[in-house]
Amino acid sequence: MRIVFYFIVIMMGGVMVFFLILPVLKLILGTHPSEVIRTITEEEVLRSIILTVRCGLGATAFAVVFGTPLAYLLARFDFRGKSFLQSFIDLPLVIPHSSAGVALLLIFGRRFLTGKIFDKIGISFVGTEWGIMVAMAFVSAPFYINAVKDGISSVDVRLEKVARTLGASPLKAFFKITLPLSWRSIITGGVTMWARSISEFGAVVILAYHPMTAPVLIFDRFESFGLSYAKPAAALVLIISLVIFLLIRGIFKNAGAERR
Amino acid sequence: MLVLKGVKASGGSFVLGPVSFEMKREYLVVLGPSGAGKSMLLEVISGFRKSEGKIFLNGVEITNYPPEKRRIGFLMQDPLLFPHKNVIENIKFGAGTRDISSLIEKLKISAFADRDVNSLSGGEKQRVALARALASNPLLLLLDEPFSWLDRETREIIEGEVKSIADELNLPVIHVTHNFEEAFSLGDRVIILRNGKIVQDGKPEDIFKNPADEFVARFTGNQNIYTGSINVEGDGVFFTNGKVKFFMGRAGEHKEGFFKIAICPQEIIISSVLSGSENNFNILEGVVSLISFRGSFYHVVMDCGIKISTFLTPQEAERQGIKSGKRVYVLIKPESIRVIG
Repeated sequence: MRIVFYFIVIMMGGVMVFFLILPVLKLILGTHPSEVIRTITEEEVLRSIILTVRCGLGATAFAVVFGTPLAYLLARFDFRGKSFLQSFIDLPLVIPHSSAGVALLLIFGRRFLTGKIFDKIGISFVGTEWGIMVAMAFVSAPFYINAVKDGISSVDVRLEKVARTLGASPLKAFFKITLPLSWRSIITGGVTMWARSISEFGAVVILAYHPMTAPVLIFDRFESFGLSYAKPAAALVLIISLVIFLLIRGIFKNAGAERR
Repeated sequence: MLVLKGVKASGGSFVLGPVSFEMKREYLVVLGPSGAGKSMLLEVISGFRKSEGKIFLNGVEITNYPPEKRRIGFLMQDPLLFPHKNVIENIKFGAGTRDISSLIEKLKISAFADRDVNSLSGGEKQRVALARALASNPLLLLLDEPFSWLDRETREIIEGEVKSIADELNLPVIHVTHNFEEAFSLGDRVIILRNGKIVQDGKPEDIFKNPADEFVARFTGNQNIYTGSINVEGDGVFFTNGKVKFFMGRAGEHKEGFFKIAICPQEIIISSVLSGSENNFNILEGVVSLISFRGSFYHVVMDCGIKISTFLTPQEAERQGIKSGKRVYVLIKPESIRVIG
């Protein structure tokens, strides 16, 4: 009976694994290396990949600066409306990203107040890198905030208290104790958010079809020229994302193991 | 010197205080059962919990000071060493430019000063935590049962060291515990806390001999508590409960009425024979109903109509041939009988 149970579990799990891996493998293996090499030399593709990586980093940097304090608040304090706030933070995870794009347009579009204010200092969000970053940050920040919140929660709050009895201000206790002990969560959250950012399409395409990020470029080529023209670009973007993602995860995993 | 005036704090439905006391350069032990408010009191003194009332340290009001401005060292139940720093880095955390070498030597840390804190034993961890707290040059040291989880031998060694270092540094210490033996052996003074209120405050021997009430008597290990009437008969005052009758003193020394009395076990004498010179004692005849070895002494319970317990050294128990079932005389001085409520 036990063997039957394990067999069923493995078979069902196997279906899920194949479902997740097959399309990726098919895209990579089904694209001839020469096609990929030819695509990477296309200026439009290269520019689009660099733009995507750069905007992803910008969105992540924004989340690190403003999301880390928020994660600290959520991890360390109980206050009225906390669960409500938590739900709002998670909202971008559940709404259609095209809706998110429209919502962002209503705030950052030139006809609306925030957009007007930024426009005055020369920052426009429609059809610009700023717009891409805003769209990426909006839909991906929950990944970062939640990871960092969990990381800070796992650091014993009494360590901060001890630091304070030793003369450290709350700020010093945060930077000397909490931050060094939760850096892995910050890195993991940052990498996850960045990976999610560079793959964003729905919100980005509404705020900024141009300049084209890699996902928009793939869509554009698919729409304009069909599957065979979109495939090499899709494979290239997938490989680059995978390599960077695995590289960063690997580096920090090893660093974490050494520290332990 | 620490002064607490009408300090009151709350957490959930529990209310601490109002608590008022003064302490000098002494080793003060706050003793009480779980949930008495001991840890909350330390949180208030250290600044981690808001409170009403006033707190002064060395003449300066620190009631509204944040913890980092109070200069109060705090050793919690766990050592709580910073896991990303080694031993020396931990100790140096709050030391500033102070020289910590003598502290390291005094607490016998030199041998493992460069080690990763995660590789230390429990005793070593608490030594480092103590050194770290002392290195920040506190004006007061708070100990929240920091050694209770160590084995007895290690605990007693470290506690002895804490006491001698505190003496050497002239550092006042407040040590919280639920263990009355630990409290009495360490404390220059003991405060007993119950349900957030101070029940008794005094020297350990005074508390043990003169418990303020039944709770204190029982909590400090006294099982000789009886309820009965105190009445004047002739020129004497007597306690009776239908089973025994104790002479308590001359008429006027005690109020008449229905009371609880406690008899300190250490002041009870057991004798196999009477010499005839026991005029000043209440004498009960009884049988040893229980004798149990407690390491350095025997706990002996006698059935004299009421159960009376006392402690005997192994030598005394052997000299008198005390064993279960033996008939003995129990001698109790009138002044050893205290009215507790």
